Amino acid sequence: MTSVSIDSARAQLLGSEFRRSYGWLTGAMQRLVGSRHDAEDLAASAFTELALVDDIAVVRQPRALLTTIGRRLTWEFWRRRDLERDYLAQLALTPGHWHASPEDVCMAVEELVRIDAALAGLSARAREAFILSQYEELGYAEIAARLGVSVSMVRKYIAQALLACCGNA
Amino acid sequence: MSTDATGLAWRQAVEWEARLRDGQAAADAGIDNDGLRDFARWYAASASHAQAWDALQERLARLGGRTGATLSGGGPDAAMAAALRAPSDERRSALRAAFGLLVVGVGAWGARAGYHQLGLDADWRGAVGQRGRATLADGTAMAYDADSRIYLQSGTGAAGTASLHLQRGQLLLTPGALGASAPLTVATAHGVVQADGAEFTVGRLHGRSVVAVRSGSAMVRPEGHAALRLQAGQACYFNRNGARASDLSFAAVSGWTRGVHVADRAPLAELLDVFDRYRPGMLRASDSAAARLVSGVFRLHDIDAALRQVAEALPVTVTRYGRYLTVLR
Repeated sequence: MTSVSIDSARAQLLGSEFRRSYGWLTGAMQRLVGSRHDAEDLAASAFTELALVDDIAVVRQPRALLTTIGRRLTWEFWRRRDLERDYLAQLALTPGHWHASPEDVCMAVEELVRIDAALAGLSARAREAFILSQYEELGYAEIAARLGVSVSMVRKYIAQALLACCGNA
Repeated sequence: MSTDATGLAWRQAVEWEARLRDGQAAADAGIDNDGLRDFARWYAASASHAQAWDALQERLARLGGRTGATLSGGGPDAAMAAALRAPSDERRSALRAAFGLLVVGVGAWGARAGYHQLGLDADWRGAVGQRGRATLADGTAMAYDADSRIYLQSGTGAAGTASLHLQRGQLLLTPGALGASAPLTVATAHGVVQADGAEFTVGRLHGRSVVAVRSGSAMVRPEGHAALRLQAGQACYFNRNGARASDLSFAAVSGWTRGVHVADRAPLAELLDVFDRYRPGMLRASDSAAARLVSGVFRLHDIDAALRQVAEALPVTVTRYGRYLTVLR
């Protein structure tokens, strides 16, 4: 019973906030990302995240929270766009013949975004060591020489990156 | 409790992956023999260990790259690497400043594109399991074996001399139709091969390199030893201990261009080095197995069959740990 009333209070709160702020947030997003369509997507995502906040009633300034969420989403949106663009540009530059279907590219970019986020917490060297080992298949000795660190340090970097990328059991 | 144990098994699996991933580093750290036994013991010690290892390998396969999820060419891996190097911090601060960010983005992008363009012009790399072809500036045709690494050395040798560094794998050079006369050198970790309008193959194998000449002649200069001349039809092995003539024909040494590897009393380690480049995952051998001599013709498109062939010919056992790590003892 109580949960229903709380849920309906939540829904009411979210509904009124949505009516009050959706247009405002979409406009703010559009100034950042340029496209109306993308801005609407981002604003909708921001409201979806707002709806996941447990104690919505105690959020005193929903617009401030929406702005914070919106900024992070915009950053992620840009990051994804960068990753996708660099990925496609490199594919196009690669001599030979790799023809990717849109589905392949979409899946690869999803994975890329996931790995990028997982590596975000690592040092620049650990990140580079992982890229060199995983995608350029360099040996540890060569990675160590390039980064100016010891081979055992490279091994530690790789272990750090693997833990980050492959998550916990 | 059980989650602690699972977490520990997971961290140990990651640690093993980091130790075994690099063959050379593993060998230097004495992993090849004792370490593999330690690994086998760890893997067998608990179901949670085996589960953690197999789960880790599955997740690694999804990352692409060396675990061979993408066998369809160097493209996707290079693209993953390039994209993951995309700088991000300027964007984050630009979000606060909200201005001038386009300039930063475009500038960084231009520099990266140029860098990669240069990198791609300068070296060749075959994907695991895929042979490749290229044409050098002087018209010489180059075929290279799966997972080979070849660098074009700039600023070395006399003008007009193409100088290649074969870091890994094998290559076959055929003079262009115009009969290019510029000398070509191919360096490996074991020495240098120089030829002038010859058709020849060079392979960087485990512990030694091989060269065979089909037409023309080539000079072989093992590191720290006197040079010797190879005529058409001759082949030899060389490393820092000098050169040793081989009875193998050019056709046998260049068998990789037709998808076969021919071994004549070659150490098993050498075979595994070749097989490794044809199949995702790791092939490792104990010291005693690695040193065993093996002869035969092995088909490279089916490495599992080739390994069965090895197991029939030699007293070695083949153990698989998940899809990824195979150990011969």
